[in-house]
This record gives sequence, C-alpha cells and structure tokens, in this order.
Amino acid sequence: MFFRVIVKRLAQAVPVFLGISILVFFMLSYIPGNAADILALEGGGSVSGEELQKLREQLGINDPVWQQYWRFFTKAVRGDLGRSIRTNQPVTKMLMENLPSTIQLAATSMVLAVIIGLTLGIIAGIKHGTWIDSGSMVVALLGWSMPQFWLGLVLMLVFSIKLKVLPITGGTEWQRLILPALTLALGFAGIIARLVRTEILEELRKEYVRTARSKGLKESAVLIIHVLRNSMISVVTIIGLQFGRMLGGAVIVESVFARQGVGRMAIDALIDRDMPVVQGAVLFLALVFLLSNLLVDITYSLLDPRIRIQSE
Amino acid sequence: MTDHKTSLESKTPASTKRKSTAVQVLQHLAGSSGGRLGGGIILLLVVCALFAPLVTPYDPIKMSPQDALSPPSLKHLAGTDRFGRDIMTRIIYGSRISLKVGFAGVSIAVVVGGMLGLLAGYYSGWVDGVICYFTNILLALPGILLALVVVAALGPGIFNVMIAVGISSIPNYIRVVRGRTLSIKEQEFVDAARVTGSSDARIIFRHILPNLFSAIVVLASMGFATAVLVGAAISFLGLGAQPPTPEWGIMVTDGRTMLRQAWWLSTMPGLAIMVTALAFNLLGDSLRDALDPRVRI
Repeated sequence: MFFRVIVKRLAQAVPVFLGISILVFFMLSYIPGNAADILALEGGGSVSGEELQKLREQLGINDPVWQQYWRFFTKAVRGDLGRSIRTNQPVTKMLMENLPSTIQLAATSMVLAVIIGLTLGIIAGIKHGTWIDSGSMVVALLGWSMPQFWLGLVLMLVFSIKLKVLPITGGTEWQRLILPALTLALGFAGIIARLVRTEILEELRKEYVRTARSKGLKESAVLIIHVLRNSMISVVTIIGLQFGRMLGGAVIVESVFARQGVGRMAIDALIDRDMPVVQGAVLFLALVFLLSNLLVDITYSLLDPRIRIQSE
Repeated sequence: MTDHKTSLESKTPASTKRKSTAVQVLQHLAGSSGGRLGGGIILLLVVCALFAPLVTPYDPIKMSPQDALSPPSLKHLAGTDRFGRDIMTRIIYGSRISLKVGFAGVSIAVVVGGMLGLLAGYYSGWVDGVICYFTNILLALPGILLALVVVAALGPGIFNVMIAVGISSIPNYIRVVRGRTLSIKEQEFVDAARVTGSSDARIIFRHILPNLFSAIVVLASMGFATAVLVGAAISFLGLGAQPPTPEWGIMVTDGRTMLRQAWWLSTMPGLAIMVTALAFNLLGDSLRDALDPRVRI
C-alpha cells in the first residue's frame, strides 16, 4: 500500500526531470559564443577557420540541437555527463568531488535554521501579541529580506576582519564551515519562524485546545502535548520543502566564500561558458531537488494518514 | 471573500464599492506599523529614483580620483569608491535599476503566471495537465538557479535580468492563481453566470479575475522583494548589469576585494538591497492582513 505511493510519486517525477533536462539543454545551446569560439579565442586568435571548423565538429556543435540532446541523453543515463571544455575532466567526477562539501554546508545550515527558526517561531506563537512576538517576527523578516551574498560579506567583515575570531582563509574545517552555514541558515530560519508561528496560532484556535484547557490541563501541557505535536506535521513539510531553496542559496554562498561545492562549480562554469559542466551541475541540482521533494511527500504521507488515503 | 458579493449584486454601482475597498485597504496600511514603515520606505525610494539628479549633487559615473576611498562623512554620507564616486549617489541612481527590475520581473510573472494559472484552473483536463507539467518543470530548479540559466542563455544586461527574474517567479503565480481559480469556479455566482449564458471569456475576466485581485496584489508585493534580491544576486555574480552601471549587486561585488580597507564599499549598497526587500515584505504582510489572510508567505 505504502509502496504504491512511492511508485506513483516516482512515476510523476521522471517526466518532470526529462522536461527540465530538455529545457536546460536547449536554453544553454543558445548561449552566445559557443565553446569552440571561446577555445579558439583563448588560443591567442591564431586559429584558422579550418581548424575552428574541425574543433566545432569534434565538439559536435554543428549538429542540430535535438541530435546533440539525444547524444547527451543516451550518455547521461549511463552516468557519462561529458567532459569539461576547460579542464577536460569528466563532469561526473567533478560532481562527485564537489558534492560532499555542498552536502556538509546544506546539512549544517539546515540544522542551524531549524534550531533558530523553531525557537523564534515557538516563542513568538506562545507569546502572541507581546513585544517578544513582534520582536522575533522583525528578526525573522530581516533574515528573510537580507541578500545572502551581502550577509556573507558582513559576517566575514565582523568575525574575520574586525573581531578576528575566524580566519578568512585556512583554519580548521569547522572554522571554514561556520560562516557560510550561518549565512545560508539565517534567511531560512526567518521563513521557518514565521511559518511555525502561523501554525501554532492556527492550532491554538482549534476546539480540542479549548477542551484540553477546560478539563484543567496545565497550559504547558496543552502546548507541548497537543499544540506543538499537531503543528509539527506541517512544519516538517515546510522544512523539507525549504531544502531545495537551500540548494539555490548554496550556489550563492559557495561563490561568496569561494568554497568548494556543486553550486560554485555551476556558477564558475556559467561564467566560463563551460556548457557540459553547467548542464551536469544544474541537472544534478534539479535531481537532488526533485528527490528531496519526493522524500518530503513520502514522509508527509507517513506522518499524516489523511494524505496517505487521499493519494491512493 | 467579500468581493464576490459585488459580482452577485451586479446592479450595485461597482465603482463606489471598489473605491471603498481601496480606502479600507489604505486605512489598514496606515493603521499597521509594518504597513506604514514599508509604504513610507517605498515612497521614499520612488521619489529618490525619479528625482535622483535633484536629490544628490554628485554624478554616479564620473570619477574624481582625488576623493577616492574616503570613509563615510557628512560630505559623502556612504563614503566613496576607489574611483572617488560618491556611494550614496550610486545607491540613489541604483534604486532606478532595482525598482525597474522588480517592477518588470513582477509584471512578467503576474501576466504570464496569472494567465496560465487562470486557464489551468478554469479548464481542467489536458489544458490543466500541460500547464501543471510546465509548472513542475520550472519548479524543479531553485528559483535563483533558473534565473541564472535564463540570463546565461540571454546574455548579460539589465533587460535580460528582468526577463530572467520574471521567468523564475512565474511558477509561483501559476500555482496560487490556479488553486484560487479552482475554488472560485465552484461557487454559486459562477454557476449563475454560466446558466444565464455568459461566455467563458466573460466568466473568466468579469467574474473570476476580480476575485483573484487581492491574492495577486499580496503575491506581487512579496514577489517584488524576491525580484529585487534575485536581480541583485545575478549582477553580484557578474552575469547581470555590467560596470560602471550603478547597480546594487555590482557595487557589493566591487567592494568585495577591499573589505579590509574600505568596509563601506560593499556594506552600504547591500543595506539598500535589504531595506528595499524589507519594505516590500512589510507592505506585502500588511496587505495580506488587509486583503487576504489566507495567503501564506
């Protein structure tokens, strides 16, 4: 029964992934200045037209786009995403090298965001209407309105340059992780805090809370046993869905801190117009995003039987 | 929810009714501290953008090397950059670009996303299927990444940033508008219109669209904040506006390497981005409370 839900969701995700791969491939094939031209230019401009033609053929740029896509697709399903035009490294290998660092960043940020966001949100929800509530919501909104690329620089300025607590370069792995993770986490903490607060307020209005109170339950028990537990279902979903946005944020944060990772790999390749690498990295991020949403869906239906029945 | 009554009482002079809603909303905005603050900042931004040459005595692009890298002072409120250009002036001129990017991005998203959402919600079946598939594809990439791919395909420049920002926020509008349309079309006044022989186009534009208005306004206000942030991020990464354009994202990049010597170079334009995004988020929050408490985020 549960297995069927998973299969159904997977079946929905496959065409979407195919669609995004086609879309990305076609968009990138329109990028002005193709790889052959760029390579030729960098060779010092001494490349003859004939050589350029040869290079274009070698890279397969002269074929129609759909043919190029088909070639890309048939190789990609076998795990071959082509090679970087710049370094000639296999894209798959580059992804595998950059992945651990991105996972480390995203996971640490997620933990930080959940801790900060839940705390702020729960306090604001319970102390609804007080200055504590409005204070936490201002902090949440600020976190959400801050450009991540700027927050990263400000944190660097404060902690590395002014306070000299953390080194700008070098240092232990933990020292290198803390500022990027904090940068990525603060915005999401803001979103989580606001949503947690809304959930708690909604839950507090429900009948069972009145019942629990009127039967003489202590307020703390009402909150912990009933309200928090019931609002957590949506909170888990929300947090899960934020994971994809966190991947988007990682793209920026990795670039700001010149930190190794899939996001930075994608940006550097975009700037260099190293298309095989861009394709590989972007599609890989899309895949991770789709899979994480799938996982959230499945977890959600596990937590909330109503959804499970609906989707069958 | 109160809106659909207007559609029912079709003989009521709609204009007076609508005006009173607008007045109510304005009153609500003025009554909430968030609405006042957000609205006030936006008004100030617009005035600065429109009258930039009157607001500041300096030129945003002309260099004056003798003033290079002076820290914030009364003469240069936000300091100067390494070419001696006044940062505050560049921020003021930069507001023109950010507001344009926000406005164009939101407009594209509202028109395209709203239209597709309406069609998907109103006609179920294959139209809905195709549009939902398309939406899911766009949603499969984090917004910023989608915007970056689009801008890479189109090439650098402010105009392309606007398109990229617009495209990346389309799916959000499709989703919300589709959901709302689905529930509105089940209501009695739509049935009534259909029974009395209204065409599909008339039902969509005359009866459903007005009821989507509040949701779209709230989304657009918050979307404006996102558009400004994404637009600045694209330029920060070097794929959007190009120097010497006074654009906030580029200004932050410019100061990056000199963080140690001249902290104000990156900090000040970043503050401008944050204040702008904050203002639109505050306004959006306040609008939501006034118009449409059901919209989340």
